[in-house]
Amino acid sequence: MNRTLAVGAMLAIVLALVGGSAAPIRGAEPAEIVVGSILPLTGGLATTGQGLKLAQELARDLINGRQPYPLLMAGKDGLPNLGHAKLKIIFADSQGSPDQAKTVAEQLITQDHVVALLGTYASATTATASQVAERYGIPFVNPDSSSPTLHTRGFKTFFRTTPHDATFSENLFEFMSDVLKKQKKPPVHKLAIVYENTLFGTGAADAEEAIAKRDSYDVALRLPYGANSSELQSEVQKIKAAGADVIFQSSYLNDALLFMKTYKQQSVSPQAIIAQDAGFIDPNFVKNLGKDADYIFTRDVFSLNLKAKNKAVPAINELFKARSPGGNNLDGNTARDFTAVFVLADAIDRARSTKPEEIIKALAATNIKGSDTIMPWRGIKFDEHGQNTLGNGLVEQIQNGVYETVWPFDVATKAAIWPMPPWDKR
Amino acid sequence: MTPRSHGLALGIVVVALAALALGYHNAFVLNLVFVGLIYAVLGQSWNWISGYAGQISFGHALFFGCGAYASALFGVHHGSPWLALPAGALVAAALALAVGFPCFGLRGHYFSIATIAVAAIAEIAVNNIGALGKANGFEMPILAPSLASLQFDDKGQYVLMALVLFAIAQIGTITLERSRLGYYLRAIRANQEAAASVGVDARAAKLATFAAGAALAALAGSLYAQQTLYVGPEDTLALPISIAIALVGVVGGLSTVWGPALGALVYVALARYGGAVLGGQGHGLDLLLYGGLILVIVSWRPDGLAGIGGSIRRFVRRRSAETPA
Repeated sequence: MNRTLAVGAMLAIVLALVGGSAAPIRGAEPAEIVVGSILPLTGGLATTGQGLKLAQELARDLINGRQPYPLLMAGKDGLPNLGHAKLKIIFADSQGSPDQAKTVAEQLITQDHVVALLGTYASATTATASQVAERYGIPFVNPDSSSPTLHTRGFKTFFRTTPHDATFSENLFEFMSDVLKKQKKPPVHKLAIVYENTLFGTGAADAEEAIAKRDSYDVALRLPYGANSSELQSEVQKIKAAGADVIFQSSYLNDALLFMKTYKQQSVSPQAIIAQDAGFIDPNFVKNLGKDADYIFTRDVFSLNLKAKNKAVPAINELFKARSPGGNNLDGNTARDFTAVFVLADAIDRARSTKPEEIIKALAATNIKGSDTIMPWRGIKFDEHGQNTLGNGLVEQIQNGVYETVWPFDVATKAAIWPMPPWDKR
Repeated sequence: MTPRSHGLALGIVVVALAALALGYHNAFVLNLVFVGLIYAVLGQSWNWISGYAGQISFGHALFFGCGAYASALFGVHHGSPWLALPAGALVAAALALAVGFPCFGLRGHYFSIATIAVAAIAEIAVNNIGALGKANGFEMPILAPSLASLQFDDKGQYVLMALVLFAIAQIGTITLERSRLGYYLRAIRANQEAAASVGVDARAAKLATFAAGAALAALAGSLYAQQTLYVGPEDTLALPISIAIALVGVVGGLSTVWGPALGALVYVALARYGGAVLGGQGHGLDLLLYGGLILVIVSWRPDGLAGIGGSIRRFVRRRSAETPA
């Protein structure tokens, strides 16, 4: 009896040593790699949050599945360097509230023992949830929050794949001067900055004003307004009086519609109206305005209508559409969340470990080509603050009711129409 | 309940929670306890003016926000967080006096409407004032954990701080019930003319109560900011926060010592714990449960959870009176 035990033990030790030398991490291989994802699944942002959850689940299933796509980490039956361990995502609801985001981050880290966190869409909830991750030394991958200050906090665990508002605004100005140069039009001077007065609009307007001042444009008007205003006559009069060449606008849907109708009424015709997505990329914008929506420029982060860098985009979009209860296409938000799951899986796989500090090292060394993702980015590579430096926005123009990509020129589907024709000559 | 039994109950609660804070290092649970205590204090500060004095406030987030913003500003400008506590409380009390003075001369719902309006004005103002961080709010710097910086590594210490504030709020309420001011308030609530005719200065009594409650709410706001380290208008000043505070008071039971604490317990258990556990499924089940409970309480027990205890006691007394000796 004792003898058998001793032999057995010796055999076990030998096996462990042999196994260990062949593949040093074998013994530590988990069957499942558990990461946490914090999203606004209920509350005012619930519609968006539910879509983001679907996108992350789709990414997880492609990573865990065997169907190959021209995407990094897809179809390899889990994480190959970790013995094809499957990726598991535990979702938690931030309710869009910063202190709830903090609470669920604590829960995911201390109760569920996740090795990394994803999330959280709204910048305020990302701010608090990532603080928790920083304190516990857990890597935090942020796919979708655009507040420019998030990556400047000196955190070692924070990685943001999306470009932020300052970059997006920078892109809009680059686009403007690129187009004018390309089409040999005279440069513009006078700008008006019109924005709804909460977090989104204020942040965008601040970024735009800073760039305008740096590049010595004349900001003739800076006009905040409340997004739930029921009429905007006096605001539009002020804009008309300012006589700006270009209007930079940040609006949600209803106010964007109201502005457009009032612009037409008072025949406000600048050379261009350049918008910060939101209301201007809502499917209902074109539905409501019809032909009057034409010629608007807006930034976006993703478009199905672009000279695709990745041939997988239509197929992935069909997969997403089939899962979406409303039959929605991939959009800027869902595409970014989809992509971030791959970025995280790639880092864990390269780390060959589920130790948070190893994953952080691997994330810092991330270098993904844009063509290996569905995004129109040059790639994903983090600077010392954890900000992706190879991301960029797109500029689209509504032409005949369709969002056509007009910038950057290498992915553009149509040339920009500049200036927009006056209302009575359409 | 007599002041003595209130004191005994408070002692038990404080000792139990302090033991939990020191001995149980589950950050998630301690976070819930912390939020629960903060809402218990907020509910109590609301209960003083809206329960005991009968003046329903729908703008209590304003005072919570005063404290949170005071802490955020002191944090960002490297002031001591200990100075932020009295600063926020003073601003809140001053605002309460400014809102209350014209309104308390009026009868009916004018005060409630005014509180909504003033809180909305404050939210819009903060959204547009650069020095107050506009819509972006403030992310407070993370400092070395110590009592001086009011930042801690361990959640338990935040719970202890909140527990001290909770004890102050409860002792204040027990004292108020027995004080001259407490009797004045009840007299005013029952019949303001009759109270005034026997020499009660209704406006002064209400103003004092409102200002004290505002200061208490500001202290809760400061502690909340120290723990969350992020302060923005949507999360401290917006109407939903005011409504959450009022709900805690209503669910627990108006003008009772333990009502707000019971309300906060239900709020945390259903809206927060439920949200964390069930919310991941994303069906809003937790919110349905909380909403359903509010409906049940409001239609079945308008005097709140604390009222149930009273009914049980009355029921037992009636039964024992009926039983022949």
